[in-house]
Amino acid sequence: MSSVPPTADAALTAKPRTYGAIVWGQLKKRPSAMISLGVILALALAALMAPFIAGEVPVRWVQDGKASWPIFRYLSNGEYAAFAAFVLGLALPLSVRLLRPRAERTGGSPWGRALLIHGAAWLLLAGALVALREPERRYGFFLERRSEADAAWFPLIATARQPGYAELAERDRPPSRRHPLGTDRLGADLVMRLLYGARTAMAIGFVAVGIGSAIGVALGSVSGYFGGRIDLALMRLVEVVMFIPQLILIIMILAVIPSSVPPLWAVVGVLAVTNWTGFYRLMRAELLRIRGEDYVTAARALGIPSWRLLLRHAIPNGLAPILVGATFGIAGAVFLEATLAFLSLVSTPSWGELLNDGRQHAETWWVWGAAGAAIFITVLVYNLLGEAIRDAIDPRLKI
Amino acid sequence: MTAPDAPDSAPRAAPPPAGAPSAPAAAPPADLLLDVRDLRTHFPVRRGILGRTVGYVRAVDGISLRLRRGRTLGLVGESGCGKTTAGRTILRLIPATAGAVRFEGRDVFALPPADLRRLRRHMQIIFQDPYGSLNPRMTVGGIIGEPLKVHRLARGRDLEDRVARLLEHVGLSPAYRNRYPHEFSGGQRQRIGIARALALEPKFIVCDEPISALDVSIQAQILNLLDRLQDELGLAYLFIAHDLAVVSHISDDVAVMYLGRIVEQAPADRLYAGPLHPYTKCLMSAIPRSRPDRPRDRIVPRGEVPSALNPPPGCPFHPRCPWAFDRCPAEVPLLLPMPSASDHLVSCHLCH
Amino acid sequence: MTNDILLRVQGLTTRFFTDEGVSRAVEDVSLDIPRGRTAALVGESGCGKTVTALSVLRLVPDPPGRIVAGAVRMGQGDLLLLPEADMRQVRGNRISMIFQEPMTSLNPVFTVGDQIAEAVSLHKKVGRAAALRETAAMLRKVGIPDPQSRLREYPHQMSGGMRQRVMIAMSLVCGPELLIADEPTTALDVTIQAQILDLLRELQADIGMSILLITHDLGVVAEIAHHVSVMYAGRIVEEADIQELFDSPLHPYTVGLFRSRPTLERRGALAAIPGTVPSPLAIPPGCPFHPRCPLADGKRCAAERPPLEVKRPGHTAACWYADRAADMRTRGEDLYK
Repeated sequence: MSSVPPTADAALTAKPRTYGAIVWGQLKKRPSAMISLGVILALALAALMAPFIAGEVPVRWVQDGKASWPIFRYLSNGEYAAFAAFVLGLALPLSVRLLRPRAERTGGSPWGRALLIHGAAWLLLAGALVALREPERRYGFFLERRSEADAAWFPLIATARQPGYAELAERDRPPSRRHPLGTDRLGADLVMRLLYGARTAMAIGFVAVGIGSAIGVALGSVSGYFGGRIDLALMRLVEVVMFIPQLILIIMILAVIPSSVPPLWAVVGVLAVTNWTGFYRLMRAELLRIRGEDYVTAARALGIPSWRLLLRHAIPNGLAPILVGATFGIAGAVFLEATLAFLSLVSTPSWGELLNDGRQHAETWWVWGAAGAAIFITVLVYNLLGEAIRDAIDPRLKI
Repeated sequence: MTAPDAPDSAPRAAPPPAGAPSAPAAAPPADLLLDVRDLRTHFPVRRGILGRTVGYVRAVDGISLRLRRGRTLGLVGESGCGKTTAGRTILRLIPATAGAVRFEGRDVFALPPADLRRLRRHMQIIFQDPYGSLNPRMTVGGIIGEPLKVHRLARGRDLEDRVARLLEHVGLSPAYRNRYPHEFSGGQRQRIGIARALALEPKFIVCDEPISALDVSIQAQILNLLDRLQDELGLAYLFIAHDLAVVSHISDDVAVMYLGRIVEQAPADRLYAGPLHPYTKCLMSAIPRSRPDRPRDRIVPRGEVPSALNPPPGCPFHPRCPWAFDRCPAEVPLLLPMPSASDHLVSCHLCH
Repeated sequence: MTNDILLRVQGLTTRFFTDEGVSRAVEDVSLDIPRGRTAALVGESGCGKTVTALSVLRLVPDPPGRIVAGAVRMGQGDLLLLPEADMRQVRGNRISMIFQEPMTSLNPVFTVGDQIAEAVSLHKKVGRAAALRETAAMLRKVGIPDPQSRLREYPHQMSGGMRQRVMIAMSLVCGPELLIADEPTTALDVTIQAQILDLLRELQADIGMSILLITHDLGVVAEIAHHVSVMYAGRIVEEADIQELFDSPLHPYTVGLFRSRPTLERRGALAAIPGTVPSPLAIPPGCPFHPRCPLADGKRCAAERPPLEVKRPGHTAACWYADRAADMRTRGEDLYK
């Protein structure tokens, strides 16, 4: 009996479609998801580029026939790191796509190689940039010398970065051409305050959720896959952690930490060590399901070591709900940060702080209006996106 | 790490055995590949927050099997009879409660993890569900190539060639290696699962209902493929199914399971020609007629299969058996060879 | 319309308009269901047999599905033209349906007694006590022992066979003229399957309803059907009375279905139909079976779709070479080697 020759298969599409491509295809069908994603990217980009949009340090400065690029010497280490992370986030998937054909021939994953190449490149670049930087000068330096320059490219909104420095004359201005969203009680431009507030919100959201989901995925997969005593111990730990009221813990921590520790870090820390429980429970439940799947049994029957089984077979199949949880989690973290700032528990540039400022002076509607809109839109788009992803990874897709 | 299916855990301490019979030990044939002795798999049933064990589901309750090289042993029974658990316990994918499995003379349950991993090269499994048995995040090439890589049997160019050969062997185009499982039909997925099982060049494959989830016209393709691979590669199969017609088609010997025990075992031809155990007779008469004009002489067992948590005393089939008599609920029948044929084993008081 | 035909499907065409394209699930299907008899619709997954049944009941999910053409005549009217409110009266009262997995069609939070009694009181406008009495009688009729205590059980407390009996009881309380049974025994063990098939046969003899049996299993067909239609790729390819079809299948697909079943009587290599069932999104041109067919000539079969024609008395088939298949059988040759 000879084997049956495979027929030319119409069901096989021209290009192999990964799970990610299928989910993306589902997502693309939802306008709300695409708009949300656009808003999120725009917000992230604006927060990242804040010094170029509103600030006092010019991009290019020509004085006495000598041209310089001051802004690149004034950006902080953190800003450079964020730039790197952003570009890496875009470049990595692209290079993975380029490396995939090679990896597919050997059955491996293209991610490792891509990460290696990018990691090395970015380390070199970061080193060079940090070496070029100059110590920060006092505020208003360039704005004061504006007339001495032959030519200067200021940010879109040239305004002092330190509120209250130079522009007390501009205080409490409603939206105008010079200040598209108006100014606050100290004359600081609202666009600038919103942008720096966005930075805080994003940083809190991404870092807290990033750490939280990493802890949750790691512990949850171990707990769900191995079960037994480890699982029992971790579950009890989760119950204890979930019992801690987050807000009260943050308030307590803020009261006791030394002033040398930035309060924002304390908030991120508390969020990370309390938020992981949700991710843990999601991942544990996924792993309980996955460990009974035949492909896991098949891998065990093939003698594949436990660590590889977890990393290659079990965890990748359980990550989809984590993505949904993380998206909702960011919205929650943004909201919490705004709450804390509104209550004046942390003093960083924040939408919550702005909202509080506006609350005290109801007649400057543009202040509280802008802050409220920023919080509302951000929380909304993350929730919309999370919901769309949840629908897109519907298990009924039978993948 | 004491979950029932924790990876590769050693057999646990036995709960009180049920005192069931084991097959008589005859001299092992020279080409004996697999020898299963009095295998038991009991799952604890836990209740309450403390997880107290309140009883055991006796999924497999004392079965003995022998399989020779290149032969097929069919294991047939209805859902819940323990046939799937038996197959996985033999491969040590589920910890056994008691009993022994010898593969080429080595005690599978006593092997340390490293040796067990090496032994896994020779014992493989094919699954029922072609949708759940392939990792949806891996390409076909990755799925089939992974065991070769993990066991360091091939890499680079050689790995690619071997994956291509395996795909051709099961009747798929090597061009499919970059595809993902969801792009294939059920029958094609089953072929991929077979290629994965063949990658390590095993001597023995547990086929766990490999065709029951497939379309009728595809079932025959897969059965024929398994047949051909057995001839070419000298594989031995433990073929698990609920369909007596399918099992007797592919098997040399057939064992009929009921509630965790083997009630009858014989060469396939003999079993078909003259089933002796009442349960086998019921099973056989329940198979839908192959033609509408065949007489319908049906032996219908009473009621439904009892729970394996609380099996009936004596012969497990007696509450449903049309011929049960006073001895049946009182005494567990032994699986004994018939006086007329030493290779026909029956566990029934009517026969002994 | 003759008096002994209960339901007549004419030229039914149902399509699904999906992102990937138009899925031609059912194409120009005509089917007669005689009174008091069992008509079987046989085919593999995706052949359109379930969509045909759902179309008859107008339960095709819309969107993406739509019945594009055809008529379903029952009595005087066309079911496809009825207002939705009237159609709701037809469902359950004149036509009822049972499914492969009874668990998903029973509500897990109500006892089976409550669920059936609700249907009874809705239909017969009787009180709860009377409805429960009738329910118990119906449960006894479908062979459930001790129906009084079973009434108080929840679906999850019952075995698969018992649940299917409950579903049958529930679908019969309103005395439908037609029972559509969609793979009613596929999820059950063989011994239980035999019991359920016996039950359906007895109930039909007793009550006299017609059954539209949808299955992939020719064995099940042989057990209870009177008339068989074989579907492939959305179309009926062969139709005959049960004995005629089993004696002399004419379409190569039907022959292949028979030859690929392992039976206790016949051992040795099975004949396998090569290739796979086509996707309803991409049905081959010409005869939809030609890429897998041993008789395909590579010209006409690939270009022209054979019509469903009467080849022998009471026996239709859609194949250009149906007589060749018949000749080969009379000469004892095997179509699939």
